[in-house]
Amino acid sequence: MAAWLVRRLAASIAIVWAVVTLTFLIVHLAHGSPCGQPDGLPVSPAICADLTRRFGLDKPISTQYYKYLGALLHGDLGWSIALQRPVAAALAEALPNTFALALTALILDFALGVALGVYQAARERRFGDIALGNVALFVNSMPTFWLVLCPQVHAFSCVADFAWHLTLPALTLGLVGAAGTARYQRAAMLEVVRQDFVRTARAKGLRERRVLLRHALRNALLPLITLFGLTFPFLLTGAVLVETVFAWPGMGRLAVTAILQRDYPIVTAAALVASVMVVLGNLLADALYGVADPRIRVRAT
Amino acid sequence: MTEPLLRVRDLKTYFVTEHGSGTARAVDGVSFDLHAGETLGLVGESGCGKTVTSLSVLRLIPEPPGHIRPGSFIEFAGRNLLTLAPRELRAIRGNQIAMIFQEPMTSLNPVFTVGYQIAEAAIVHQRLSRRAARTRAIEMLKLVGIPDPAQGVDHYPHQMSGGMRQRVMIAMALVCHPKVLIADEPTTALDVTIQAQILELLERLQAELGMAIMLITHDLGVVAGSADRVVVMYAGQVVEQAPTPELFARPLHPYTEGLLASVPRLDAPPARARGRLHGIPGQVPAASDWPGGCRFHPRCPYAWDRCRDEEPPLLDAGAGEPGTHTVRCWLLTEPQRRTARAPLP
Repeated sequence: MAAWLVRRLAASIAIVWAVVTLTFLIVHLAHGSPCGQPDGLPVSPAICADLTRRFGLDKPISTQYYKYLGALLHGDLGWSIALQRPVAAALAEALPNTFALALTALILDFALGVALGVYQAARERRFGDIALGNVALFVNSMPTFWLVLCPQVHAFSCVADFAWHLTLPALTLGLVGAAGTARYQRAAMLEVVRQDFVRTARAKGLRERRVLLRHALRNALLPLITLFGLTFPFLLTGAVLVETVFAWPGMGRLAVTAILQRDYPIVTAAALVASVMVVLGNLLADALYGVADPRIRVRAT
Repeated sequence: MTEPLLRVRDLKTYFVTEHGSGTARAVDGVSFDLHAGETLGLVGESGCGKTVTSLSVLRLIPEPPGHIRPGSFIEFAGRNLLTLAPRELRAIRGNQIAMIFQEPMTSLNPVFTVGYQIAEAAIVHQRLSRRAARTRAIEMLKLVGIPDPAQGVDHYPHQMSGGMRQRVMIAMALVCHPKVLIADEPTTALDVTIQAQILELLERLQAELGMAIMLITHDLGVVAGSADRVVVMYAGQVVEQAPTPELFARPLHPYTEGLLASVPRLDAPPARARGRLHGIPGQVPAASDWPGGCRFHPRCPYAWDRCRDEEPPLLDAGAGEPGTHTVRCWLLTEPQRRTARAPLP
């Protein structure tokens, strides 16, 4: 167990380092600069030259990289060029918002998705299954349509309340996610209910509900864990489109604005957060596999 | 003769075929009795309908594509299982009639401990508490000969060998002390030495618990060792039915004859020991397309015109009481035809 953890941790650090390095190179090699036309801050050339010098942007890229990495190892994420405040402070503001949105959406996504998928599988090819399948396909294939429609509703009811503001973006993300999750869950259930051990469970004289929800579902959750591991970082790094449309001050919006303004420290910090989330999502999925399936449990020796 | 425990009459289980166009008559008018405490062997090649017959008894046929035709009748303890409400049927499944399956590898749920899977039927049917159920599971594991049952109870199926898993399946089936145990090819997936152990175990448990066993197998060797009576199935029908010693001494249906001749024997009489093992030519036809007349006639060495045109009923072979030995073959009406041609190569 300990050896496994150490191996995983080492691999995780390597991944995060690689992502940060790549992002650093890409944003610095990309066209444009933090000030001047067409993207940067609208400031005079004199101030621009001053900024460039102060942020060390005139130095060779290797020097900048070593400086950045050195600061990072000391826990210093740097100073935002556009926001004129520490990157850590900007993240501290955006992250909780994204977490609140992402966790609400995740719960909605998987609770609803799993429930619908199981229901559909139990009613395979009957009315309930087909109707829900079509609705899910519609929701899943028209996210933009959905996103445009929602703010209109939103405009009528501007209650300055966190929970209320959370409702629409979380519903949007959660429902679109649930539509996909339900399809996975349905397929997984249908595969499992054809297996011999489900017949064994029926032969014992168990209720159909117990057969499906206990014997089949436990097995059909395994492919869902993979999906969870992928969805988790996607939502926790900020769903860019939804955050933008709903003016939700989270990571996605922060990152997009920073990219447009060539605010290098924020962009690399956002990539850092994203890679940490991917690694975390994978770790979480692995831990869940162990809980759900005794065959892949890591031996505690 | 006492009342049978399980009475199957004119059982017809049909399936809609893959393309939805035809009907596969997998079981087509099967009748037999199972008496308390006896072992009944149900024998035939793959595709002859024996597994579908056994699954039909507990109504475990997936619907669709399968369905049991109206007019079929499966009586257990005075009630027709085919018309029972789901709730009443559940009270019989796993409690009065239990089943073990061919594949111990896939018939156990991989995510639950074997102890839980054994105890589950007792929890559901007898409302045992968790702790009592666990104690019962340990007892059952001991009964079926799992070494160190107190530890084995917490094992998962993947931690056990095939033979051990089949023992677990048996423990699971017997936990409520059923009156009938349906064993569908219980030893087919196992090594020969393990096969013998499992059969011995079933025999011992039958003596201890007194249940009736319906033993489904394609292996006449298994039947010879453990069954009191044998029902031979071919193409969805019963073709011969007799007490085991009678069947082995006097097989009357050409199919039974062929099956017996295809069993390798060390003590074979010299007439048969010609160095080569006999096989029945051809194979079981598709269930959506049974031949007309006698269903065995395309493979039968004795077949004549009548066999092609007319389907034979089950005829009494006249051994002991009526119905002791029945055969679905026209040879019974014209026995001289059997000697007219030598059946074996």
